[in-house]
Amino acid sequence: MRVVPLKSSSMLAFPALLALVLAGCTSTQKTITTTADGYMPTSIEQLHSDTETFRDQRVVLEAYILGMEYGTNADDADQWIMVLGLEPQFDDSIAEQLIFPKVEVKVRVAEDGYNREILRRCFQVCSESRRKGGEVTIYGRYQPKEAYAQYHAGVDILLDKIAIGETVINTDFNDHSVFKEKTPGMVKKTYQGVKKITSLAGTVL
Amino acid sequence: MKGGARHRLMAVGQACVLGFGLIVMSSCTTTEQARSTLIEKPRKGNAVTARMTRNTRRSKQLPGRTVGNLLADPQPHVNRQIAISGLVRDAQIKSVSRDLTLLSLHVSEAGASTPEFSTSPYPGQDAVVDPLGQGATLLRQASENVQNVPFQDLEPDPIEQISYDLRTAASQMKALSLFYQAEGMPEIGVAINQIAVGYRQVGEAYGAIAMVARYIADPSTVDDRGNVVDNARISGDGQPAQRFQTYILMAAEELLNAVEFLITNRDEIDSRIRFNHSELTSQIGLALHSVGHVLEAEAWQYRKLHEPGLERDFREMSRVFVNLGEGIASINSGFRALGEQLDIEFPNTVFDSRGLTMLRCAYVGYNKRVLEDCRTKLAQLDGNEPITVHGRLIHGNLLEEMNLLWVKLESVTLDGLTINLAYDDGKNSMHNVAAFYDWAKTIEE
Repeated sequence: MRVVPLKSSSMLAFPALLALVLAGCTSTQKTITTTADGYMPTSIEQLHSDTETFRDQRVVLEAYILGMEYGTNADDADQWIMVLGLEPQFDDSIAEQLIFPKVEVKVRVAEDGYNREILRRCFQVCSESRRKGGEVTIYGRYQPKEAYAQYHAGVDILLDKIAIGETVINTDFNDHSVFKEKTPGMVKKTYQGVKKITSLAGTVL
Repeated sequence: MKGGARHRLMAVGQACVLGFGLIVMSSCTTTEQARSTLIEKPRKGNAVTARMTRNTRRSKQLPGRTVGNLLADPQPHVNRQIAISGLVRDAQIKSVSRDLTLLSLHVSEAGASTPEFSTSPYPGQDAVVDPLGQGATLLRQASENVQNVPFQDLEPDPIEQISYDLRTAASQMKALSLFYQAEGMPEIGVAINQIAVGYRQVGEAYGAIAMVARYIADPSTVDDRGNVVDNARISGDGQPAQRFQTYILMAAEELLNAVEFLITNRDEIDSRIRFNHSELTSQIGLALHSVGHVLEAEAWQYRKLHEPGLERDFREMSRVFVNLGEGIASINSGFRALGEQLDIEFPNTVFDSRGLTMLRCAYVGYNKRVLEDCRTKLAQLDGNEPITVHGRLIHGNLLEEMNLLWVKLESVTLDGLTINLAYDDGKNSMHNVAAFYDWAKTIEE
């Protein structure tokens, strides 16, 4: 006899609870707009103040270049890292730095690949932009806690594309994997090495 | 050996070698495949892959732990992971063997005064000299727009005087070179002789500048044929000449300081003198040499225009800059050879953290590129920004030095950037295989 009222009350309570949960969800969820190509517009300050909202998202932001480093990584791919800030930096003596302890609000953006021609072009365009104190627009994935190359932490965005003025460059264009880059050479070298040692063994014997 | 047996032996040998090759190839391919699978992950098309790293952990920094109290009572922390913040006092890179590199840091407590180390990238050594100081850079600045310098506005006397000082320095260096050779240090003697040659060339170049300034054709004078020599470079603006003169005099003073330092410390070369020789490059010497040829080109143009006075001046100044370029290059390479030789003959002593206010931290690995990157970034700090070192406190050996207290580094955090020092640090066996392959490549040669 006691089961029936309980059953009916629980059946009534469930939709109410669901409605409450749904209402709660919709009220706490932030409305985040994205661009047509799926990037969330943001700024360096927003990334610092609201890291969790943007973590692992594709973001787009405008900023000034403080310093840049261009070289090769352990896989012999070209590697390019920029530090972006809120104000332009004109001091040429620190143009190749990544360390700016006096600038609190900044992000580091990285790109690497075997598409050297494109990356060098980007680097040159960005160097020019830095020299003139111009803004650049960065498109990339925000992953502040993830390791990048030898950096456990501190490289925040992996670049997809970059816009300087009217020029937009896809920084991944024509890139390929380490396997594709290195395997043919490795096989060739091993073949040559084995051939040499075999012929040497033949000569000695 | 009979033919059949020989063939059989050859076949066995070939099979062995081929087998070895296949093993090497398969191991390489496996590694590459492993990397490539990481590449194809949805991360993006970037080529950075998970590298071979030693296991590293980043320990949490305990509140209240400072370099000072750690050094005061290290025993509870020995063989434990620690993370500790402080100011980096020096960071140096040293080659331990062909492939192995040591990164060494000293970390002091924030606010601690350690002036004796703050200037020296060589802990344990009393003095470090930047051999050329700003000398070469000042000469480079003097060479900019040298075509526009009215040489007749230069004051010949001070330039001539300092040219004698430079020649004196060259003779003193020659004497020092022979002194070290007599003391049984021929390599050091040879390096210093190269420096002496450079000083002589620079001294002669200065003498030539003074001569040009003194005997340059006056626009009102006539040449051998009785024609009035028109010096088109006469200008009312004395600034370029003054600037040129200031730069070259300052450069000479800097160069003379290096000689004075070497002579003062003649008997303490095994302990006091150290050079950051890896940073000495031949770039400025080449740049000055290049200016010499630019001036020579101008001299030919003046001959074409039938201006013998200007042609002569430019030809003289061309020789000046060729001499300066060669001289600076010789001084540079002499100092580099000296620095390398000092490192070989009198290696740095490893500093123990015990009894000091600084904590010694070190990493030894095959990943020279990563270790150099770390050192470069540490050098970008101005000395007052704290870093955090992560690693294990060791009471034991570091390379050849035994029974030290030091931190075996795993990572370093500076300005929000954490550098994993174990990144791309392969194993000894891998390097042995690479060395074997290098050897195989040279067989035919």
